[in-house]
Amino acid sequence: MSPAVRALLWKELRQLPRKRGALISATIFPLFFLFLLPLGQGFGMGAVSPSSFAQIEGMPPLPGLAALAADPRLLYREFTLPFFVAIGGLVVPAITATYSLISERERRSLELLMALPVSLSQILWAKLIAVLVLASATTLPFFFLQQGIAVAHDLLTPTRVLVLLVVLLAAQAYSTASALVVSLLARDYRTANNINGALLGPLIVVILALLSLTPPGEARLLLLSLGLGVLAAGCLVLGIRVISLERFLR
Amino acid sequence: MTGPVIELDQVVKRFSGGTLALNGVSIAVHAGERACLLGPNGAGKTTVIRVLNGLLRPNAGQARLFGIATDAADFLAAKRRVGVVPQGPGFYDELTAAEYLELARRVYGRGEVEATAALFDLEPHLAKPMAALSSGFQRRLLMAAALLSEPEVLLLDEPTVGLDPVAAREVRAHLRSAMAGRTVLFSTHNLAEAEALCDSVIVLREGRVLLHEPIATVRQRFPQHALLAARQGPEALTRALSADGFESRIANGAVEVPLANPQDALPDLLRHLLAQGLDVYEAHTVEPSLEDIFVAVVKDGATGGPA
Repeated sequence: MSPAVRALLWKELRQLPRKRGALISATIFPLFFLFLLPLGQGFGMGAVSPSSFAQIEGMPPLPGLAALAADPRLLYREFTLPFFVAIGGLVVPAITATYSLISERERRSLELLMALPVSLSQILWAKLIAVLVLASATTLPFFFLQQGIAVAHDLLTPTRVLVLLVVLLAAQAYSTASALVVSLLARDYRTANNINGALLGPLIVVILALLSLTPPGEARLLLLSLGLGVLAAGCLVLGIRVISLERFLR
Repeated sequence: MTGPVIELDQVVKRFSGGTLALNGVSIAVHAGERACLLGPNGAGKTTVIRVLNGLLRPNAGQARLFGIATDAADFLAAKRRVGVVPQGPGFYDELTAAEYLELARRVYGRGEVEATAALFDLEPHLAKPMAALSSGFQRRLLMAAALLSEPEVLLLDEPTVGLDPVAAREVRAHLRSAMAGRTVLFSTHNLAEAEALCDSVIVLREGRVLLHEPIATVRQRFPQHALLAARQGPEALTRALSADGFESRIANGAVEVPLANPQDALPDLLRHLLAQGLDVYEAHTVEPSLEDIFVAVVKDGATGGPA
């Protein structure tokens, strides 16, 4: 990391925690998606006996779901929990990243930074790293707390926790990088949030389809992580290299 | 270095809406020169500063600092030798004045925050959020950040615009000491400020350079005026001057007469007017102000101005 990016990261890490709205969003969403909802689902599923659960009708005969119909714990581990982890990773950084980038443009403070010997890509890198640091600081404690409880109740294995951590980090990377592109293209904060929401919808469908259509196991979660990672890299290249400073200044 | 420190070479900048902001602008500011960038609204002054700062990319031509093009990989190395005061940027409400100066110190890799803040009387305001500072102190903060690293070059984009007269005077006093011994490109609307702080002038109009010369040189090409007043009144004076073939105009109750060489011409003119019975009680020479020169250049659109 160059000294300029380090200096800008220092500035971002001072600023971000002082943005109350962004901080509240960054805390509340992971609390729900990575702790309360999975915890409730975990205890709920753990309380249902497999014999009574097998009698539930209407489970679609899809490869990813058919094998789960007989065991609520399996359904939780292979479907519900990965879904919540992915959503938790997707939602949190996008809000903070969009806020950080758009607010810079809306109040015309970018020139304040560009008056110093730094480049736009250094400014953007510092923002992305800061958002990832903040997102990790808010999501990881909830994630590990919930996963620890699940491991203690034999709902998960440590290996699965690690794989889910990879899913979470990949989702955060994609969320941050896509927010960068959206923030550079959108006129204002509201438009950016609308576009983020519009992008999230199809992605949720894709994640649900992947979890429903592929056989359970670690491989599909790693495949999901890989897909999110590739998307993140694409967004980063687009954001850092293609979109110009003039567009950001507009 | 021997070449210009600040340079624009045939720079064209067209904005996405089609507006042509710079139309083949060439400027060369040499080491130690303090050049004022003057021009009416929309002339392209801020665009010049932004192009030099690397904020805007020229459509054609090249901008260079210390000989390094703004699109070169090592441009940031050149920028580390430059202090920039941008025009009216937004200010953070989650970052204090001290933190912004500390950011500048970290980015430049040198400088003393407290010592620089003291130069601009910013110490009592260092703990305040930047956005909470008054306009005058915000400008001082920008200047402090620009000067923190002791740069060789300053790019100043209308640093006193929008300030009340007291704050503007204070900022101007800081500018005077900051500009001493440095190479400066100073964009301003304020002609008196330009006259007081700069030694050369660049006049822009509609994205073209109309003039770039030392103020002393350009003054020599614009005629001095004799300012005359007579007891019979300005109309009688102008009638007499006109009859003798002199151009003149009435201004503030006196009569201005352009004279190429007043030291030689004015005594003869005075003797002639007194001989005609005109009671001339005031006569002195006036150098053309920068405002006179600016108005003449912008009006004519030519680099030469009146002979």
